Amino acid sequence: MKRAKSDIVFDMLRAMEAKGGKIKPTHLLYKSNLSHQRMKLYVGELKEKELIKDSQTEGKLVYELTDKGRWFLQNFKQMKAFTEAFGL
Amino acid sequence: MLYSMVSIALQGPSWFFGVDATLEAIVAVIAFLVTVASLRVYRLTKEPKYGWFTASFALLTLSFLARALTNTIVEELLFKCPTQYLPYVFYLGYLTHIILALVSFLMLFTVTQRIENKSVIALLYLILIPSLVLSSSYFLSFYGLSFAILLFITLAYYQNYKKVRNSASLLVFVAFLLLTLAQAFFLLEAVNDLWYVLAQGSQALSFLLILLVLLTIKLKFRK
Repeated sequence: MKRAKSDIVFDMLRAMEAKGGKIKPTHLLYKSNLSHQRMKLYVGELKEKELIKDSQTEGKLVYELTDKGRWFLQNFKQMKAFTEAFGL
Repeated sequence: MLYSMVSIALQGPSWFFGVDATLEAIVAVIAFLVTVASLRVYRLTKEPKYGWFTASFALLTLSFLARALTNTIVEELLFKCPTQYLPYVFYLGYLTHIILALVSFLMLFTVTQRIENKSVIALLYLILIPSLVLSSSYFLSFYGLSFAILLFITLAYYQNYKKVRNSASLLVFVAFLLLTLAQAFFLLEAVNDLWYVLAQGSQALSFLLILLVLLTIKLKFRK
């Protein structure tokens, strides 16, 4: 079944949270189950909305979850639990 | 004259006067909280199904507000300054409650059954609303129709519980089961006043379970 945009964003942010808030682009590509092209589009949008930012770990690029991103993810988890409970 | 007004406007045993309006006000508040939670989901996702779910609970809020207000006004007027307009206040208030609640249940039915075909949805309204308006007893038709619609909604929530298997989905299923039973108890009110008490209790308990679901979710994912 085709995932909704909101589900893809949720999966990406959750993958970052599971990795302690920072994730390598290759790891995110694998966890989000998207093509490289589509992942770049989503990453661009998440950066634009300041939910994630570029960061460096051992001189390599990683994506980091911002405070706004963490707050958004908590809201998203509440939303998921609500829609699941009411079968939406 | 006063006797006929009393028989029209008062429901349930005398010790229950006022309690029913309070319970209905509590139901309205909980329905409003679900509306707010659902509106947040809709604003985040912009998906139509969440919009319909929000609209459904918003109508349910207004519906129970109308019923609580009507019961309060009627009971106050009846005991403090009986007037010939009392039956009109009662019918207007209850008609508002009935129509809003029925439309709300229909919306919830289309969302839970995932009916997206606009013709089918229009047909549902075209069949159900006139069958209520043209009925010789608004109350019997309303509770009968509500029972049937809520039964299907409850079945959908049972299927959802089987799929999701968590406590929140179980509580939602039980809540809608109680709400469905409440409609049957309201139908039995003519037999004995105590059925009205049981119906109100069952209805209030169903919404308290929904409140418990909201609180559980809120506390589980506290920021």
